[in-house]
Amino acid sequence: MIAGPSRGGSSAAVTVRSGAHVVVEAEVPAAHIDLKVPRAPRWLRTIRMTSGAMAAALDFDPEIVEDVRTNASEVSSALIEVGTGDVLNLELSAGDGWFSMRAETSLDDPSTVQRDRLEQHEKVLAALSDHFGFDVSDGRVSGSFRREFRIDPMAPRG
Amino acid sequence: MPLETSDLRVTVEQVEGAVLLRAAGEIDLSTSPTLATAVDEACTGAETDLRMDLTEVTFIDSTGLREVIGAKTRVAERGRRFSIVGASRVVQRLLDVTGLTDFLG
Repeated sequence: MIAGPSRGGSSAAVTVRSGAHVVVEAEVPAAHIDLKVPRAPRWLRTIRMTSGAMAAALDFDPEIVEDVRTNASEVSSALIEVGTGDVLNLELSAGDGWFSMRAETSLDDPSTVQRDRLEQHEKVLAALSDHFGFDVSDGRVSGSFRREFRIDPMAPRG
Repeated sequence: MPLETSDLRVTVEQVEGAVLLRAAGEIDLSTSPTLATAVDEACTGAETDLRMDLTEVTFIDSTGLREVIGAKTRVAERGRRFSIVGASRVVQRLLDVTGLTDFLG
């Protein structure tokens, strides 16, 4: 792992206290999209549109939708810049109060990864996500982010 | 003459004492070369200040900010001043969260 979590946040499972028992429920996404696009800058808009539309479909606040779009662009841009594969594979998942994305592509030579290229993207991810990271291993480079937020229980849901 | 892709349009014009660069659309890894070309055009031969109007920018990420910072650096190297004279909400938010508002303002 060459970059770590930023703002902290909850774990990937929901803990529910029920009387004397503590029940840990697996986190089940309300929506999941697998996306496979060419590793090329012209596909960034499609990635942003898909992630933004998914967040909007779940009635996320417009500012959260914008954060999701920006984070998706940062992770994807980083992999387009440092990766060497033809294809960028993305997994988008979201549920009540969270949105996450993981992306990966091939990498011929890990020593060619320019650290300063990643740092530029990390600066934005640190500000607009709760967890993020880039990983270089076994001929692959991957990146991810997770954005968490509180849900207003009184707000109407679609 | 405007420089444009399907997602970004950039115009450069001479105004009183400065060159004004206006961008409209999305600035990311795909479109930032268009912005870079416009900055080249604005800086070439013009020993004047550079003003950037980003009021109609609908998306920007760190790749776009990299070009804006590069423009300021080039202008400063010539002893001229750089300023952002207008920023959309999305531009201002990214400047704020990256702590670049004062540096680029």
